[in-house]
Amino acid sequence: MPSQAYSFFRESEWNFVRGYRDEIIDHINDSMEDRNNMIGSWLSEVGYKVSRFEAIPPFSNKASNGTENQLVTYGIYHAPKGDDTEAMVLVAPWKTLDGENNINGLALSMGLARYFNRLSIWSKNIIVVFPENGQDTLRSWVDAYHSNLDQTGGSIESAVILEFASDTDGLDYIELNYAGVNGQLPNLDLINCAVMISEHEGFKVSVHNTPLGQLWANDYFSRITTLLKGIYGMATAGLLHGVNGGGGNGCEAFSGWNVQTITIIAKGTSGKDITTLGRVLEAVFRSVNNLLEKFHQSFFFYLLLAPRQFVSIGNYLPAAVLTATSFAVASLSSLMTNNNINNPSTKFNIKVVKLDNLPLISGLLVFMLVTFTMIVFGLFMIYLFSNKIQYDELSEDIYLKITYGLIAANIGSIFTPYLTRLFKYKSSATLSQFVRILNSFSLFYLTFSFIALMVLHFSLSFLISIVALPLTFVKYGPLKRTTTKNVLWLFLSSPFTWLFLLGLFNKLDFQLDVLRNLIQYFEFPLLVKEFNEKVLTVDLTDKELWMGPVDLLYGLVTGYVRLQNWTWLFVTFAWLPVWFCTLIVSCINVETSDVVESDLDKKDQ
Amino acid sequence: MLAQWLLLVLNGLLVCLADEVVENHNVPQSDIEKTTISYPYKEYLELKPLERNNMLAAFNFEMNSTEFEVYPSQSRPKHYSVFSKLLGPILESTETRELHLRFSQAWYDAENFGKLPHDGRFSGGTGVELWALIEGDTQEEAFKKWIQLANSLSGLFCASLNFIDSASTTYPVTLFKPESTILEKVPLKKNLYLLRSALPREPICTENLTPFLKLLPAKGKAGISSLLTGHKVFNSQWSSMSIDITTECNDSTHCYYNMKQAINMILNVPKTIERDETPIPKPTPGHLLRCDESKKHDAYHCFPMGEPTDLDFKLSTLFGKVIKGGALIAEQPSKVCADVDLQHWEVGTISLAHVESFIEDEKLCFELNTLQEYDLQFKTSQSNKIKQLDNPPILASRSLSGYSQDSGGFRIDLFNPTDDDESVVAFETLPWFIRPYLHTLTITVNGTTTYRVTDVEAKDYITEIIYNLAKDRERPSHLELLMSLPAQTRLKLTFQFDKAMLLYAEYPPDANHGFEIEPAVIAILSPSKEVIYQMRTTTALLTLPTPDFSMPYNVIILTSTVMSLALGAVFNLLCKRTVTEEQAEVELAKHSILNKLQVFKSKIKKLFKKEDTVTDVKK
Repeated sequence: MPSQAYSFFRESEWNFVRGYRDEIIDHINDSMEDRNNMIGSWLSEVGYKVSRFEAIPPFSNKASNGTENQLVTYGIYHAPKGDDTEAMVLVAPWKTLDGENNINGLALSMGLARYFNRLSIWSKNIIVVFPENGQDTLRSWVDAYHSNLDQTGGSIESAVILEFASDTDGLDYIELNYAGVNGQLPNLDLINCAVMISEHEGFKVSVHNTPLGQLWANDYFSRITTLLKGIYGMATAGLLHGVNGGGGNGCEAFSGWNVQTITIIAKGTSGKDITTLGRVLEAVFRSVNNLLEKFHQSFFFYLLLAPRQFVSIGNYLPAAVLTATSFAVASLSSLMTNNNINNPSTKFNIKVVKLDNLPLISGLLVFMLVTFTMIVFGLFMIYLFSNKIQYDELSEDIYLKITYGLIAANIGSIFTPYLTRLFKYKSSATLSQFVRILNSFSLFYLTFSFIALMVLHFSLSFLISIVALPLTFVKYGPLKRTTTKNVLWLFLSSPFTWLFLLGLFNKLDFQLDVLRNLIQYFEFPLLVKEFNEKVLTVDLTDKELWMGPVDLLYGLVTGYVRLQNWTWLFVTFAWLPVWFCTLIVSCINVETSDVVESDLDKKDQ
Repeated sequence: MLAQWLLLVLNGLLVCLADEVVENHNVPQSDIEKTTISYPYKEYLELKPLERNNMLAAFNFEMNSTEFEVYPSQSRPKHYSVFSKLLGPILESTETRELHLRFSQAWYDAENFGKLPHDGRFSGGTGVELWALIEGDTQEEAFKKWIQLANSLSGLFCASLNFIDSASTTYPVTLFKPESTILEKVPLKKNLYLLRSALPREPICTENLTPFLKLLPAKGKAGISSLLTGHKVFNSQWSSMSIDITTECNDSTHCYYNMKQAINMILNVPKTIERDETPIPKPTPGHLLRCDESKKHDAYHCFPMGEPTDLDFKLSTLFGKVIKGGALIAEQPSKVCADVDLQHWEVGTISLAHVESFIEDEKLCFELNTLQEYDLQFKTSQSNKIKQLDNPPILASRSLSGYSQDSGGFRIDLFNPTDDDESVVAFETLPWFIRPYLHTLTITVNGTTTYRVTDVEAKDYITEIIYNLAKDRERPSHLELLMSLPAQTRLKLTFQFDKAMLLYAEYPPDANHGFEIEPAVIAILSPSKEVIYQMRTTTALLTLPTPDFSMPYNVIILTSTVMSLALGAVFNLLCKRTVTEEQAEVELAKHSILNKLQVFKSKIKKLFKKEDTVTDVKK
């Protein structure tokens, strides 16, 4: 069982952690070169094989001045007696997710590295990595480890990223982060193990930023809050940048190599002491070390409700299936002419609904043309953002212009139906058939995109299918009758609307747990108080707030190159083309019914 | 008293062991130590301090069998003298002319340990490695004998050598060349085949050491081998055991087996001592903390200092035992040498016997020529002052690349730290489920320029490729790359491979940890194509695409449920009649108990009525 062995990471080991911490505090503001030299010399003194890797950033981080190469110092402890084929990784980035100096994290990692070297229990190698940040730099290191590093220690089985920004001796609770990009999660066994060990050592465990006060709640409402935060967190993993040169949660960096990764973030400054956290890490490493086999292949799909409760894929997948099915139903309904408001709604008969070759082919052609254009647009954006413009203070303005330009253009285009109303042309049955094909086929395409994405990345598929749902409400007919509703639906389902909203949202300090508390224990004065404190204090003139959508767009577009994140590709390959097709549908004035009255009459007779 | 008794026992032993012992039998006991009965057996222990308080202990044993004829004209009982009676018949029945066996474990740290002992001639890669020179008319015959040999050795050494089959056996070309003089001196009747196999998965442990010691004439009871115990040998930082048997001949009637046994191991001295003193690890007590005084330190803060440099230990601390007397049946007395920097190290013997020390090859040596116990003491205040280590002439490592489930790649990093160009061979055996693509082979020179194997420039580095294609389940891929490695140059070789799907039953159980790929052998060749130095990379761990085997069972259970539900419905439809509600009520009413009672009643009434009518008629 994990955490059963008596650990002696206590007493005088604490002195060493403090000793390392004193030095780190003294040198934390040294140049990158000096800091890495320092930690490298410590590691080799302890007995690690130290190497250095220079991460050439594909595009520099916002705050990491210019194009300077980022250094990663790592040390390998080849376990004596071990067969040197597997490794466990301990990562302590210099900057945490929030851009703070990871002082205790670094000191504890050094203390643990030294301590691990004294133990004679290891059958797997131990690699200690000190990257500048936990996102791009770490990702480059992981990439290089699997492609061209000289010094390696075998296949990496697990990785633990340690963040502990304060320089005090204590901490209150542990926050566990695990979401990787593209819906990749670490094996549930590792998470269970870490939770069990932490609780055994007396720590409360928080998943998805649950604040300290809510850690004792384990009822329906707290679980649904965690579930929602989990879905949101997984869907946006890898998209969001840490501020001030920090990175992602670190798990993103290991996604794709079948490395089980968790991030352990120490929160608070009082309570248990730092060696207790050290013992948690030791027990996690021991547990992985004692594994004689691989992590089991069927524990990779789950949603956490609480640190110890989960929902397995069989139970949650139907939700995404249902939302995706709504598009299939809408597509079918459109094919059966239900979206044409000129039709008599009840008298449908398959034999009288005509479909000619010309509108069929032209409808499909227009759909393909739109899709192709959007794909080219998406790829061009990737090329532009990752090769042409550095993302730093200098080009902030360019990015700002591009982002808001795109948002404005998109929102502006929603109103084109009002423009097309001005042109008078004769509506024909062919036109009506063309619109029908375009509408139904684009929805059909979106259904299949959702279903393809669903198994791999449930959260993304689920969330996009919900926000894109208004696309299924769009109907066509005489523009005078349809325009206002359609414009509303198009606005609600536009990717750029959501880019704007989510971008702003990320910069606001919103906590779902607070909202839950307000609703669950409703008291009007409390609501007013919270409203005054949280909502009215938002400074709308703060530039950082308005940079939110810019950061998000940057994260989206460069996600594929930096982290192999597919979200932008999905948006431009599926969501955006279908949205545009729907826009075209709602721009066309259709005044004829698909059902020819005379046919209907004949049939009735 | 004890010593005399021991002598008696030893004398008895000699009687059992030797043919010629008769002539010496009457020698007075007290003179035995000085007598000249000797057997072709030598043993030698070398101790060498290395960087970071490590210590190399190299045990070497060498023995010869009595002479025999290669092709005996008549069968005669055989004697082997000090050569093991267990091995002789196996070698003869399989016509094995040369046998090499390696048991190794752990990673060799060339930076701290320097060159491999004996230029790597006696060190294997992780796991077990076996190669043999077998005489046979055809390759099939030789292979049959090879399997027989492997199976016999498997029992002898408690190793899974019986898992050697054609899918893991290769026929090396440039490496593992035979050294026996039988090749030159004796006209052989059949062809010779060189076969090799490795089992990287095999954990090396005590059960392999015990039979190893049993092959020695003193059987681990006397001589330097009395130091060897499983829990010390296998608690070392690195260890390698080897057995090399060659057939040496003067002519076809005068041949003998020469067997070299060696154990090389590297011990970390402070760790070994600490494990003795505190078997359960504890935090260092406050007064023993070694803090860097130049940095902040007090009762709470301590910046740790590096390794301590003052050492004082005995052989008995390292091995938990003392040497129980010399191996007196050897032709030369057992020898122990310490390869230390005598300016900084003190080495002394602790023994009741008088031990002369002498200098040989700049090493401090002792001869153990009595039956007394011996122990050695090492003392230094500067353990980092050691004799200059020989740097290895080549550094090599191998890693897996890629992340895909169905394909991957290997990269081999080679570095020539010397100032001379070297000709290097990389020997790789890959199991059949790895399908390498040689056209993807690239060479990167010093991390800057990359050539594909088809480029003209690549010919400067890769001079020859020997490649035998794998055959599914029958033969591994066998790749030997002959390269020329310029001075002070780093070469990175990469190639891609596909992972094959296994058959259902070939997958290990769910709780497995992957497939081990045996170490690559990297060797430097002299201009005359002889191996100057050789080393092994570590094993690699490969995961194959594994289907979720529980899925079929889930599907079976699910379909069974659906089918049984469907069957129920269909069965009901077939066997029951569908009726309207009114009909049903009528039917129901018919079958109710009340109705039945009424029917019964009416029947009885009828019966009475009938009787009435009958009587009426009669009337």
